[in-house]
Amino acid sequence: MVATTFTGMGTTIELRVDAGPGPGTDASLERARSVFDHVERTCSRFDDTSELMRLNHAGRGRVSAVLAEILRLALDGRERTGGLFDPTVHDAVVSAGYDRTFPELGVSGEPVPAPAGGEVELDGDHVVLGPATRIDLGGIAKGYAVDRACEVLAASGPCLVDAGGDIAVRGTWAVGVEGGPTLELTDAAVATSGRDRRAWRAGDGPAHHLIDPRTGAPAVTRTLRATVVAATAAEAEVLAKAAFLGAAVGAPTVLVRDDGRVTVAGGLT
Amino acid sequence: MTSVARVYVATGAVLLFFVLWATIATSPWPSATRRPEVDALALREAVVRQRAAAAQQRYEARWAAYRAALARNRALTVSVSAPPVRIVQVPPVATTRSS
Repeated sequence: MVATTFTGMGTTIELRVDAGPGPGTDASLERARSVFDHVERTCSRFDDTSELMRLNHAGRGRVSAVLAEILRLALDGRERTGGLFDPTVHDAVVSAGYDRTFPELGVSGEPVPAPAGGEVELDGDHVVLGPATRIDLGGIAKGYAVDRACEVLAASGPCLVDAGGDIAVRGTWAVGVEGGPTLELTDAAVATSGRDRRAWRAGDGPAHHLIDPRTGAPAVTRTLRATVVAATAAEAEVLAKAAFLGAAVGAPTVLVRDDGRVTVAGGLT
Repeated sequence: MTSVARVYVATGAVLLFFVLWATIATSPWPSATRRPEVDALALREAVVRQRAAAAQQRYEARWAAYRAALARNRALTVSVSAPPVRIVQVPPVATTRSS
């Protein structure tokens, strides 16, 4: 077993390959690591020079294949979840106080709800954003990076990629759910959406980064964390957000409430 | 005047009295003065009808939105092809958490 850990995309990333050490394995690990660097440089909303932020400022333009692909996944996710997952919540996240990298975040002002559901046209590699529409690809970009890194590592053997809880595996691996059961995954991915991390004080009350697109403000729910298993980490991200907001997603799901109660659904027993 | 003539006159007077009474009772002419309570009731009726129409419109919009959301949720439920997964009692290699 070979493993490496590093920091990227605002979290700790761990790569594991069930293979012996050697130049081939090292090269796979390095390539997988570079996937995260590339996706972060492309999609960071904390870097004004990132491709995503240049698009947000310009409102239209041609984008790279990677950004177009992540945007397509995000828009598909919005369609599939009836808008519960929405990449146009950028302004709502910023209004809620999450306007800088999380370690730099302190107490922010009173959150002001901002509308989601912005218009986005994606035609090949050409994007046009509607008026006052800005994109936030944080979670799904990480899921996409996990999927691509897992593909790269799979060439060296059964592998696991874990980016702060977004996990994809090739082969069979036991993956725990925080506060819940342990799941045996085979060639699958899992992601968790929750309000117990990336939370802060805003005005007189708590705030967190999971915006309910129906209100444009941090979601109010008894659900603390929603974990969903799917074929890819990007898909799991989308479905976990929808499950967190109360949708029945039809995939293996673990819900942890704020009183500690655990519910499983979607065929899990 | 003969007694027959007096009977005709009396009968005619009675008939005239009833015709006048019926005419006055039905009051076919418009009221000369508008009654404020009737005007207020008419205004109130118009307002209530307007509110009912608006409420009906809102109800129909919400019903349509609910039906659309229901259809989307059903589509979502059937569109996921879940990979094989089961709960096991072994120590996990990694743990998923909020990110």
